[in-house]
Amino acid sequence: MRGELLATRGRVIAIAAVLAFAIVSPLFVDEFSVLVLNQCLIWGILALSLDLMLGYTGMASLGHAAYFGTGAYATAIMSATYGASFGEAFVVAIIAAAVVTAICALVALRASDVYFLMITFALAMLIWGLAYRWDSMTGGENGIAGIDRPLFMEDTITYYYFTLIVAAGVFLFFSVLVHSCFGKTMVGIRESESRMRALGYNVWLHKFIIYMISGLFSGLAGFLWVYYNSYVAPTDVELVTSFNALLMVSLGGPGTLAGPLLGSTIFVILDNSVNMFTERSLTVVGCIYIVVVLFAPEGIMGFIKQLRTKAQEANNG
Amino acid sequence: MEQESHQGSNGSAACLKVEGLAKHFGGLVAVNNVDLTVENGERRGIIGPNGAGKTTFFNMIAGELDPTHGRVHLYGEDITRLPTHRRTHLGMARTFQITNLFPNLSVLDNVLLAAQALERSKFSMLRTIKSHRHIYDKAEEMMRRLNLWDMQNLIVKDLSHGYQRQIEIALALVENPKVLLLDEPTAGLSPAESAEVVALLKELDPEMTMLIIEHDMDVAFELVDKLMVMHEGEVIADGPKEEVRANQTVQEIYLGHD
Repeated sequence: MRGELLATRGRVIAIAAVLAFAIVSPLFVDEFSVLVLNQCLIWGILALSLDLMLGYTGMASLGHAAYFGTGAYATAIMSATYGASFGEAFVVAIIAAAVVTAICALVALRASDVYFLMITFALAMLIWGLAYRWDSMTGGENGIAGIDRPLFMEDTITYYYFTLIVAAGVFLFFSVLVHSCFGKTMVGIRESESRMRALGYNVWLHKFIIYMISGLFSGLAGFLWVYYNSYVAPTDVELVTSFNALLMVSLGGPGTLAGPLLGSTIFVILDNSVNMFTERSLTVVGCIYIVVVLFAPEGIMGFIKQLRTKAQEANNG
Repeated sequence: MEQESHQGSNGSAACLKVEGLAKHFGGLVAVNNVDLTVENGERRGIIGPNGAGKTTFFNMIAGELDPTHGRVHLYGEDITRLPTHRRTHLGMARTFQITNLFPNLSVLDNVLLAAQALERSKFSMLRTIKSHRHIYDKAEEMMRRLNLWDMQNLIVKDLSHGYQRQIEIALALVENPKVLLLDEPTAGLSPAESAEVVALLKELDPEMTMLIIEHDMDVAFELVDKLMVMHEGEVIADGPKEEVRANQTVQEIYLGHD
């Protein structure tokens, strides 16, 4: 009991510290660093959404670029082509992400395990194909540029704070979700689908709902990304984006909420710093992935948990 | 709710009625035209050597496998094509021959997941399971009955096989089923542990209908009234257990020559 209380207190302190850092640090660093931090938050939302499926429910998706990209393209098209406002673009982006996610889920949920991964990947390639080839709508290879933020959040730092509020809200909702009745069923499905069915759960329906939540929040990340970048291109929807999201979750620790945020932060900072020295940032990222899979298969959070358990055992023994 | 209305309308029908059930895997006939009627409150055993088709037969009743032909009725309703989780809502529960739990969750979380399975609140995204008092109480009562309460915070995968087999039964019982399907409940247990499980099953509500696959003849004889013997996908004997034991064919095929 006491250990549990201490752990909860530790968690609250850690969250407060990270939040304090996220609020205060932009005031003391240059604009480039604020941009990098903003990227961490947006990718963090995408990684969190993916983790709901990958880490909590055990559904490995290699296609989250599709839902991210749908949100992004819907935003860009609404804003640049139709001159929609920030709010209007948001509504359309979320609806578009919901529709695309629902269609993909209906197809992908017929399979599981590695077949599920392949199908999500194939579906994402379809979305990429649309972005790349549907010139009149998406601008083809050139993408869509000139998406302006509303005046009040035009400057880098205001938009950063806006993103921070959204990310904190997502984190809060997810932490309530994973501890809820429904959240426990996600873990139950990861642990044993056949047992869940035998207990009376409609596993398909639960997976569909989780897929929808995950897709919607990925779309939200895409929406934020477009207003951050003021530009969208097929590269945002390609395999590398899906893979990066997967890497962030694996790196930080699947099945935890801190993990994806930690993973996205490390990834973004690394990506930006490596890019200064070499064009082969993907090679570096690939090597990191191999090291993580070999030495910390549960990610950094899993590694920390292991160390803590060992320390506890040493104390007790 | 669903369960009660169901019993009302079909009170007189046999609990479980299986007609001409068969399963073919390609050219292999795993189960061939099996008929079975289990009355309310009956304890029925299915025995047979390895590969007799017992578990295949069982999985068709539970809903995990689609039969090639034949029908399954539960309280008069045709459930042949009903998905597994819908059968559970009609009052059916099962255990698995190979322990099938949530290994990385605590014992309490395992039982809680089972206890909320038929509740509407399982879709709640804001409240925890524990905050639903009646679900928590249901889980606590079941765990105390099986002496699992003291280990509520232990992770299931760290427990001994004996305890895991008990949790296996706890998960099936916590929703208070009317029909309990047990697939070798004592598989892999020591004689002492096995005796404990038998004692536990004997104490259950006599109204509860049970269908038990058993490998261990002694266990089967202790638990059931009637026995069905399967061999190579076919039923070779079915009736009161003493009669079945005396049956010449059964002795030759299953019990061996004395």
